Amino acid sequence: MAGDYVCGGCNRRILVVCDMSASARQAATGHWLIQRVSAVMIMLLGGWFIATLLGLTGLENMEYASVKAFFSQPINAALIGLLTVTLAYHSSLGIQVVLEDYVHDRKLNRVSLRMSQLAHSLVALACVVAIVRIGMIA
Amino acid sequence: MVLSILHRSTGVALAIGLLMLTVWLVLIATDSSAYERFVALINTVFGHILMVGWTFAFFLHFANGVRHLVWDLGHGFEKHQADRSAWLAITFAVAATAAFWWCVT
Repeated sequence: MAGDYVCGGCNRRILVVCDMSASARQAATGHWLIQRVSAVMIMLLGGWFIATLLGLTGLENMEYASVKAFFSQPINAALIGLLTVTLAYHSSLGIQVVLEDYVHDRKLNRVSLRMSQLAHSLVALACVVAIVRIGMIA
Repeated sequence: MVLSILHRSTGVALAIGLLMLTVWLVLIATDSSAYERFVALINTVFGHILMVGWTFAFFLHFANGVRHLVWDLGHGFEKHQADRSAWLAITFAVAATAAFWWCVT
């Protein structure tokens, strides 16, 4: 955060200047919070998914019929849906930070950011549509 | 120090892994023959290397994510604490990956 600070090590005053607009700062704070909330959700839902792969939640094996039957149950459909959408959101914000740090050309940065967001939206949409369809065909 | 760049690289690797998870779900929703071909592809040596890599990336990103959350709460900033939690995260990731594959195979 911009402002006047005193260094804990050398006691000299430091002036921190931020060139972000107020709306950009607000968005950044929002991203910071969402990234952490989604992280905690992924820890819980990801734990469930790992347990599922280990066969602890009722999935017998990885054959087509059992996997389809497993994800057609409403509770499992809801959990995998919530997990994939949260993963897409968390991933989108994470890739954005990487792009901000490594792609310095402003135009290229904006284009790559939009492409990343589009790809992540498509991933989330594809997962949700797939899960709904599994429920319908099972 | 090393974990900072590893957090990023595992994050990017996991973004690609999410794409694989998406393909998997879409194929479950499509038909059994496409799904079986995808599973056969995973059951190659190259496929197994990728899967082990992704599980390790998941557990390391997970453990280091916990470190970040603890830092956000204002704990563990001292050099010796950060060093110890870094080793703990790496140890956890290696152990969890080994345990996971020991259980599924």
